[in-house]
Amino acid sequence: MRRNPLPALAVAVAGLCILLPVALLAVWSVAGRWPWPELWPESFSLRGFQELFASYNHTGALLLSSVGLSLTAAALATLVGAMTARALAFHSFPGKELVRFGALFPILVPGTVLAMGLHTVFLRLGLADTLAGVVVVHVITALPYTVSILTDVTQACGKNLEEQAAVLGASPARAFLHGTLPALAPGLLSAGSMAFAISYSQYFTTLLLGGGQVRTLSLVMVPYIQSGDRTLASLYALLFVGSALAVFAVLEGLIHLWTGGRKWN
Amino acid sequence: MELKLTGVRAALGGKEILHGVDLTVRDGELLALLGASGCGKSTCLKTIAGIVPLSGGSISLGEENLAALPPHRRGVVVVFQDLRLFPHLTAAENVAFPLRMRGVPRQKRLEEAGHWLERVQLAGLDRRRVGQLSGGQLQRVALARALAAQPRVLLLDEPFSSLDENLREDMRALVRTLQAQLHMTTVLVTHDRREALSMAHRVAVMFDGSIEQCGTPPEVYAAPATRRVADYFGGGGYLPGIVRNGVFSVGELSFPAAVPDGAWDAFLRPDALKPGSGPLPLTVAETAYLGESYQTTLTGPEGFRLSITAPKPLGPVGQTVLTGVDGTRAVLFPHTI
Amino acid sequence: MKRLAPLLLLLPFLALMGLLLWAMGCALVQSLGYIPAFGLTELTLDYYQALFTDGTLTASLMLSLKVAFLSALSSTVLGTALCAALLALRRGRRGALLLVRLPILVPHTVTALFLIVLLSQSGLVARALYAGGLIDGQEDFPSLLFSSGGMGMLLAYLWKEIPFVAYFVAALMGSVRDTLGEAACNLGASPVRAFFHITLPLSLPAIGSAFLIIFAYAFGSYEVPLLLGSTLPKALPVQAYLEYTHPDLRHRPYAMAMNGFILLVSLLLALVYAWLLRRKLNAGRVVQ
Repeated sequence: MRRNPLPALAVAVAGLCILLPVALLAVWSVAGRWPWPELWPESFSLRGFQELFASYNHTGALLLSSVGLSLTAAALATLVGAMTARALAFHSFPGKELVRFGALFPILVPGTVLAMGLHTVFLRLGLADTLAGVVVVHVITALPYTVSILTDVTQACGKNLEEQAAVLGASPARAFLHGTLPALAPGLLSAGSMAFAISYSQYFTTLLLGGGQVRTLSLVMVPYIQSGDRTLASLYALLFVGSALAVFAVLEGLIHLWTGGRKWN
Repeated sequence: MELKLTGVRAALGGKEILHGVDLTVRDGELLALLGASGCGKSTCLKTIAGIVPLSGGSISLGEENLAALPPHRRGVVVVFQDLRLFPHLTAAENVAFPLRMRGVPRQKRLEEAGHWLERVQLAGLDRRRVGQLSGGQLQRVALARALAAQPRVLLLDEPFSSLDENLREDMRALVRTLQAQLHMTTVLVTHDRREALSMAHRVAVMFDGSIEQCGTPPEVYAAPATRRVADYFGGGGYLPGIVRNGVFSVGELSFPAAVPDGAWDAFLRPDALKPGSGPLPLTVAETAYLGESYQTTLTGPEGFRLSITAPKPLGPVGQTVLTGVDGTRAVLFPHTI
Repeated sequence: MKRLAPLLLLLPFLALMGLLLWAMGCALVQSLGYIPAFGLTELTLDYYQALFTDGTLTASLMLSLKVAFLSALSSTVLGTALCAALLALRRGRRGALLLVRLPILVPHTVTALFLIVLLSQSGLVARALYAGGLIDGQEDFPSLLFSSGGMGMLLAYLWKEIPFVAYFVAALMGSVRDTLGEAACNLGASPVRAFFHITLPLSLPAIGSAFLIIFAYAFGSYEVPLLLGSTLPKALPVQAYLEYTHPDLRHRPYAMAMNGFILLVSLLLALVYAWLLRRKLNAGRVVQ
């Protein structure tokens, strides 16, 4: 049978469009002089690295605190998501459809509305310009994704393993711990990865609710993009994408380790 | 038109499932492809339909090389086990779908779909959505849709397995009637022996990705070619004995057997035994009440074991029953240890 | 205990939702001009009215609407096509799906940087055209970014959201294609017709959700117009932030009115979509 070459071509073009800019940033990050209209840098230098990792810049500490902040937000979003998913999957209660819709609601609330509205509230609660406030808004932003991923996963796992454990004499807590949790683990980690990606990318919410007190990598790199220092901007961007990928790789590795290649049903 | 598979090989996910299937389905014949789950019968069906690509061999329909055609031009239609009705279309639109693909105008194809729905006894349900039909009705819509495609070959992939027993009987009868009326070359995939024996003109028994035996229902049942086929239909026991000069004998029992001298096992089903008088002493090991009859399990020399269903039990447990054997109904297999 | 269980499980969720609703309530109240702390105590729709009478604000509004709508529309169309192409791949599908996930990880700010190094007037494309003798200087290259038409923003959203749509739709489309699409082919539909008659219509719920998510995001996003938008008109969220941080605190209701309008449009769209989806669901359910 003859196969249509169009799909492969389309995917190849898409792949090129995705990878070309990334490669271009890699070149920019080590470019020394690259004036118009040269197609390739005239010279290369490690100026960017020196500046980025110079002691006064505290890039390492910034990276750690950004990752820490986003991991915290991701863990909380996953926990709340799992609890909500469990209520939706196994319980019937009045207003269930409303909760289902409400869980997706933050996706529909545009970022500026969310940030400015919460800022007004946080000013009253004393949460404005604090780390806790930033974590809360990140959790709200990531929640729709964790809830929807985990509702599917929780429903698919069902209660069978938990019921079996209970029949064999486990208390409800132990039944959950030994019955359902291992089956849920891959879902929890993939929801967590998603929440991490969302939190790590946040710019406006961190800017407004952190009020300059909370610095993240995502926040710090924007002035460089605006200023036109392409070398430093590229380096920050690569650092961002690289660190996000690293965290992802660790989380995926954990999923693999946890499931041990086995399939849970 | 005759469907012919020659040395068909196919792999799924890097693992070879079909190891050279040879099979001929005659024009207008209903052939049952019988086998346990995982033997490759569904994969075989999908290679005929073109959904699973061949990795070797050939498939032809009449003079035409089927394997060279894409699935939608083969004229080979599957009724899938999960039916795969289109949920966004009505019953009639589902049935009309293949006509639509052939460019039949809307009014005409819906009319024709109506006729097909009538033929599967669903007259008047044209406008129902898939979600508003019962399991049995869904089966009929799926069948009508396949027939509306006017297939050159109809493939049924365990289409009745999700139905209740009585609904299943109705569907079997319907399929047989329509198949005969339309003279439709049909392959029915099933794991159900009774379904295969009662519905098909011929039965092909499949094991581990190849056809073990193909013949009429009485042939494959009464004259199994291998032990595996004999065991799949079941209901019999193996009696080990010796063949000398064309005579099989064990103890007092002997009957003519057209096989070379040596150690053989006689495969016997209840219809070969005449309990009451004869040279073979068997012992009643177990009796069970089945309602309309009793089942007596008899044991004999060298692990021979066989259950007979009769209006009355053959005797109390432990009693010896002398039994005659109809040698013409015995099937001989070389003795294995 | 049994009846309390769902409530306990939902407690943190409800707390967060409460916060969210409170925040939106605050924004809406302030958008009506009620901020006693700043000496504003009269409820009025003037600030909303200004959106449609003040030339600057109206231009912002139209720009944001246009960019959001065009981004959502073209991303969903192209993303659906990319998804179909991915699923039609016989080899390398896993790798391609991984590649498509990369832009989901990349924040919009970095996407803006991509576009700047690639498509600005001193970007690589302009240089390549100059080297090829197609343009005579930087000025000859069309200023795609920072233009009042919003082209730069649109491109940034496309780079991020086309892969997002492909990834988002792939699960549903893949499962429809492997069962019902296959059945359609078996009934005589060519792969192309099977796609348009069966796979595409049955994937519409996911495609519609993707449209909605992208529209709401692009309509309310701050960083993309900040980095790639024009000075005039400014996109609505940028304008809103300007008013929000205006030294004269009495400008705040303008910011909140803009937020209120953004929210209203998004919610309206969501309601229309929910209504459409419900009609579709009533029309037929996927049976498996």
